[in-house]
Amino acid sequence: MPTRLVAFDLDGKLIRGRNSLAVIGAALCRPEWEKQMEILYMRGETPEEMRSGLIRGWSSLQASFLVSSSTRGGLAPGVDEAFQLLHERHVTTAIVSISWVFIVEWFAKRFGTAYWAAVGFNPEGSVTPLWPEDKGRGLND
Amino acid sequence: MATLHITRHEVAAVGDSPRDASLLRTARHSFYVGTDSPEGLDGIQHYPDGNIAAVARVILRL
Repeated sequence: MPTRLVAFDLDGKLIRGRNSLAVIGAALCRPEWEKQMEILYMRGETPEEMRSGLIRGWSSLQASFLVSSSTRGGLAPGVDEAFQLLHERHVTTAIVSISWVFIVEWFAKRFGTAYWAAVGFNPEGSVTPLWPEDKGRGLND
Repeated sequence: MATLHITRHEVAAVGDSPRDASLLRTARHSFYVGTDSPEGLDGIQHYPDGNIAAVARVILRL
């Protein structure tokens, strides 16, 4: 049976070296973001605690700027060729990541992936987590 | 998969750490990139050099 969908994680697979939050934080002279804004460090917190832990103005930061900084960290070898090969043969691609949705969405558009699942940042400031154990569910959806 | 009306047998996943276990186990074809060994994850193809195009070629059987 031919493969019709390929799902990728983001950090470590499509981006190499430091993760996207570490690179973004370094670019903006905020190295503490690597942990402060990492969803894994918010495990066990209530939605209110998650919201209060987010840096002020996080949602208003321009994703394009953040991610253009993160791409300086380097894409994985063969990434663009891989997506070209898959899309030419009409294989659908997706990104499933525990990074923030606006970062993942930027990369999804960069690579031409049709679907993505990530940590949600809602308009009212609340967070919809995607934990590592949820990645399979994200793919099922 | 539900959105596309496809089964896990038509799905491949690419990960690089134990945090990707649920993603890798959900897909029929799973690929682990990077130098770390995919311990505890059976039936996964390991690509230590992490070239994503090489993984795509295997998926596409090129």
